[in-house]
Amino acid sequence: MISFFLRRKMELFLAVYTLVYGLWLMRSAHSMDGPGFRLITHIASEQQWGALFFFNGLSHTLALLVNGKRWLFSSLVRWFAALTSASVYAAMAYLFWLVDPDTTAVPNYGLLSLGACACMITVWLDARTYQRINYAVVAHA
Amino acid sequence: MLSLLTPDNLPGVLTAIAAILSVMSGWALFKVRKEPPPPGTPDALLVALNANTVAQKEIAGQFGANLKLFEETVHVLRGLQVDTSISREHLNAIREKL
Repeated sequence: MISFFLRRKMELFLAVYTLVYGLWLMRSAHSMDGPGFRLITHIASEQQWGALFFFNGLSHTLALLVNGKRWLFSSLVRWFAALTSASVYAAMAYLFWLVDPDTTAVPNYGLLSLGACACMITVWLDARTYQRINYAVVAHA
Repeated sequence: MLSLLTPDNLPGVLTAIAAILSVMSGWALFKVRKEPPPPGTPDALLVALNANTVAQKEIAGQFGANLKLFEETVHVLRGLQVDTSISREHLNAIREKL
């Protein structure tokens, strides 16, 4: 039985959100054709952004499901995925701000980036917890 | 090495790294899917709590069955008590006749 890491609901929500966001962009439905996405699509195409979000969200979700059974590996993957999410969402918020400072996308993506930063801290706390448990088990074995 | 990264290829590089990590995470999940959580971890506590709750429900059900058995036993014992008093009266009557 897989133990779902229900104590990290926010992180699981962020990971699944990123995965679904990537799937939505990969539908080739021209979601980024609006003028606000001008600078974003200048860097990469909509499908490229979709693939980035999809694989990042997928790796984050899978690492959350693995979690304590391979704590070092899953902690590293979770931290990298959270860092990528934080960086990309912050970059998108900045690019939206450059085009139109009054758009709602600025606070939306900015807060998503802050949430991803908080997830980086919770990953560090979890890794510290598992490292202490592992040390206690080995020391008393 | 870092000079190879440019704003043009950075999304592609990040996507490639994320794809590799997805494959590795999927493989790890496949390997650990039937493993119990490590002892002493919060996940193990949740699993143990769930198992304890199921066991407690079974015990509560068993106690209910025991209670019904005890009630029937008391009913039978009361019947035996009545039979014993009747037998004692018969034996006393036989002794007086003798």
